[in-house]
Amino acid sequence: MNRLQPFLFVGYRSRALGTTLGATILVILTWASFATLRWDAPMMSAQPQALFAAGPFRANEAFEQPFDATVNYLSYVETKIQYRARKSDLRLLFRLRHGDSLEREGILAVPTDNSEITTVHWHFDPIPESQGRRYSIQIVVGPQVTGEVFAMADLQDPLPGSLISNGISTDERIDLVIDPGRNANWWRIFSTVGRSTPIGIPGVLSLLALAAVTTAGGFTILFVGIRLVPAILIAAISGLVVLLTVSLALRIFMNQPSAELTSQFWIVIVASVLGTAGTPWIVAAISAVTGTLDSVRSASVANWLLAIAIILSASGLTTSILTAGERIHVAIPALADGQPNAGRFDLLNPGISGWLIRVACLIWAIYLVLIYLRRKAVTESDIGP
Amino acid sequence: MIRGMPMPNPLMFVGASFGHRGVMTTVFLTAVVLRYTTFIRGDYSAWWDGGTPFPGYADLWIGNAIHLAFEGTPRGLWFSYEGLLYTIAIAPFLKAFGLYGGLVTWSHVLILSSAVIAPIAMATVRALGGHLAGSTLIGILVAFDPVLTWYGLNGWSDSATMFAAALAFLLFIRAARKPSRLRLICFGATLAILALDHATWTWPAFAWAIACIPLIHKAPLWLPAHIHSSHLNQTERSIRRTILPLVVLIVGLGLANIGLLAIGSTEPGNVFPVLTSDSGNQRRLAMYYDPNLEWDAWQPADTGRTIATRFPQVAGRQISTLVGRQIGPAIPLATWLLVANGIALIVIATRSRKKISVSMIGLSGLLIATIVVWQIDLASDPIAVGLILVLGLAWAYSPTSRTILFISMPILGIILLWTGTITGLRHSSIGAYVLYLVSGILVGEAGIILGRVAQPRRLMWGRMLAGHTMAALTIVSIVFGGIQLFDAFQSRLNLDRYTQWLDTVLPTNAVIMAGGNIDPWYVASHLNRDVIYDVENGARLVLDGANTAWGRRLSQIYPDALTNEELMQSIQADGREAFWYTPDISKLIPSFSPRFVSQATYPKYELLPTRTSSQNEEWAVVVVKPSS
Repeated sequence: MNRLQPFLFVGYRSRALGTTLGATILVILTWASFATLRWDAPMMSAQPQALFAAGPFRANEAFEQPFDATVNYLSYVETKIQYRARKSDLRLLFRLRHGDSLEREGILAVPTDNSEITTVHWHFDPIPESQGRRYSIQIVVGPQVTGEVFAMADLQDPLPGSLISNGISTDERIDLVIDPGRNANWWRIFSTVGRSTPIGIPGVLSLLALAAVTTAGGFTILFVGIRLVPAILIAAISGLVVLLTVSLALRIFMNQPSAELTSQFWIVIVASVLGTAGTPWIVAAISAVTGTLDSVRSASVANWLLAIAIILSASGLTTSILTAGERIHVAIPALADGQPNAGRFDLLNPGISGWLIRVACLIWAIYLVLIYLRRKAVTESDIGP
Repeated sequence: MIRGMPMPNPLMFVGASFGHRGVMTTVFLTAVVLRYTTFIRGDYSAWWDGGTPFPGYADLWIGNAIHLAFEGTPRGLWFSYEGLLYTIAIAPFLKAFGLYGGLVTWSHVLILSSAVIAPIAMATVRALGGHLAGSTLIGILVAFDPVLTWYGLNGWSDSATMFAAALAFLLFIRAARKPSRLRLICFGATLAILALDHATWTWPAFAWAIACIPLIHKAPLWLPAHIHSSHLNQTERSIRRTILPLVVLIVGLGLANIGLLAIGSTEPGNVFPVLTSDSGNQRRLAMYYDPNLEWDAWQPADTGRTIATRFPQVAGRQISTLVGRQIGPAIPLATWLLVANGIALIVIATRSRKKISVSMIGLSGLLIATIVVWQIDLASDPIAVGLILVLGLAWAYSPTSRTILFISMPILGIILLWTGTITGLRHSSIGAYVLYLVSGILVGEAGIILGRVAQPRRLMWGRMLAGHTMAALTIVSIVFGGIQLFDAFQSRLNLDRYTQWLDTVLPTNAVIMAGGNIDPWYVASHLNRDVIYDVENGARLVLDGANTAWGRRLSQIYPDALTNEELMQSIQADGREAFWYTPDISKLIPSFSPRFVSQATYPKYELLPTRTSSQNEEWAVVVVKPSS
């Protein structure tokens, strides 16, 4: 009898048990996906270039640069400087102002003792409502500093205003090299995405709930004959599937500056949610038309996993054709461009295809592990106790 | 025409008559035509490697073969030079046909040896009993592969390595199917050639020979069921017999080792020259994984230590770099190939879902692939994750592909380790070849499955469509190659006419300077003037009628001139005028830097068209002048 227990478990004799197992895996995956979800991207896609050095700035002197925040949860500012001194004693005081109010302030020790260009990161508590505001970053050289600081600047006027040197504005084209950005965890991402919609966070939550209900409806139609699966379990699985899809879709944009301001972001998010909600309905409709609904309803979890893995693999590999990827020059002499025709189109973000393939790989692995366990259990039960 | 019979469709006729041999012949001819085209155009030849990554590196083997052929001295036969057997192979051609005739003949041998890899690859897949679609696919992929063409023709010893590697895969499969003594000995001998020709293959060849003992012994476990049933004689698969390739490999390397010791081609104290490896490369590898390690502080154990401790952390990055920056960009339509593999795998997975039995080995491969896929950075290109998915599934679902991947692991592992340091396209091309083999196997297996599905349902149109597609693909390939060849012949004809015209307008004191992509002997004999060949890469051949010795440099003619300026002035001081050889001034570069001798900076010289031809506006007399 003991030998038969694993057989019953992994052989899906109990559909409720199999579904519970699937739901548990989904919970783990969704939790892991949200827990590790981060957006650590700069705000601007075209950062100022360090073309020349402005200065020198000595102890207690300051330079300043205004900039417009395009995202919420502004969390850091990065700048480039040169420090010429005999010892490593550079301390910089950072002040971030919005109008007349001082939003953030901090002192940073910069461990540099050579005159090479150094990138300085100043992290501060995220500002939730930063989007659409004009900020000014002021950098004051610490009072004990013995050397000279040079601020790296750009001449292409990429930022509003100009570099302010000790309170005096420089030429309009001259801007300090700064690269503001945000570090956002899943909740801040969700919050900033919700705020950038006309319906706000409650509206987004409602839409996700609606998507989960729609998905659950599709699942219920597909599994209507399976009384062993409680409705609450179907609803929970539907919600988890929608959340997992959303988290994976958000992950695609982890390195994209101001992702929520691009149309591609919304296309991917909306398509993911609608696709998830609509897929069970589409499968049910096709099955009903082709007369295979009963077969689909009685399909095992393994076959469902196989179907999902196949769809994701096919989608991932096909979408890789729709991304140009990074242009790599391999320099093959006889070819006109130095490399053969890749036959690819620059339509999608490379991350979309990559994430589809990653998830497909995961589903294939789960599917084959289940098959392996089931086969092993069957073999052991055949041998007998 | 019989009354009432429908008119036969010509394409149907072609499709029906195109058996495996027909397709193989067509693909081979396509490969020959495509390679011959690059030779005629001057892109690659036995004396010109295309100008990158180390222009004129082929001189090493040519020089060594000349010593062997004309002086009878084996001083160039060092294992560490690589191409030990390649050098020996060139020498008879030089001896028989002279320097120029020998190199031209050797270029043709290279064209054939590179082109024959296509039918060898097809035969390898065919030997596994797959559908014609699989072998056609791999044949076309190899025929059109630009790196196999490049290093197959450019005079580097890698052509021999590529040929031997392809042959080794074929002989391994043939030995696995029917392990006769002859097949096993041939396989072992090919491994010995591989190991002797390129240092990267020394240990992978040993690993392969050792792995083939259980693999051939247990071949019925991994060969497709429909081909091994007639060869189940286990006495032929005894361990005693399957050890033969290893014995042949050891004997082959042993004989070569004795030979090298006998001629003194080894460093003092080194009694195993055939196992010599470059310690400089090992240092580079250790320093690549451990940047804190210094060149002089390196100890041999550091390499193993850094690989064991640092490589696992960066394995994803290394795979991404190898696939995304070397293998992927060099394969035409690489992502489309992955899609084809994906479709084939979906067919295999769907068909086998009812009686699928996954082994722990098969499962572990996919699990490792899943971990690697999540380690790879997606920012640049998804091709690496796509490839890992395909290989992981191929490992899990296709025992034959798994075997090919398993025996390729040592060489691919070495290539992967050195990625980012010294791995170049000539090394990574073996990765592309293994991918082609796996693709051919998967498509072949999928083709067999679809054929079985079609037969009982009388879906004969599907089978005919497949046949026609194969025929159409191969015909399109050879037509494409034919057009390329015609175009190359046209440009060659233009070159002949240009040379004739140039001969009539050049002064008698003219010295011809030329780039690397020409035939310097042809130019010298038709213009009857002195030629300085490949002036931007050392002017490594000067043909002045009296002396045609290989490697006679301009700096040897004017030994007192120490700089490039002085060498150019020496030519002028001799009362000679320098002209540039180019049949098309629309492609003329405005200036060039002569690099006859090595200097910190190189002077610029302008190329000025002075007189154009009334026959062809692309022809001009181009004078070489110092930049003002």
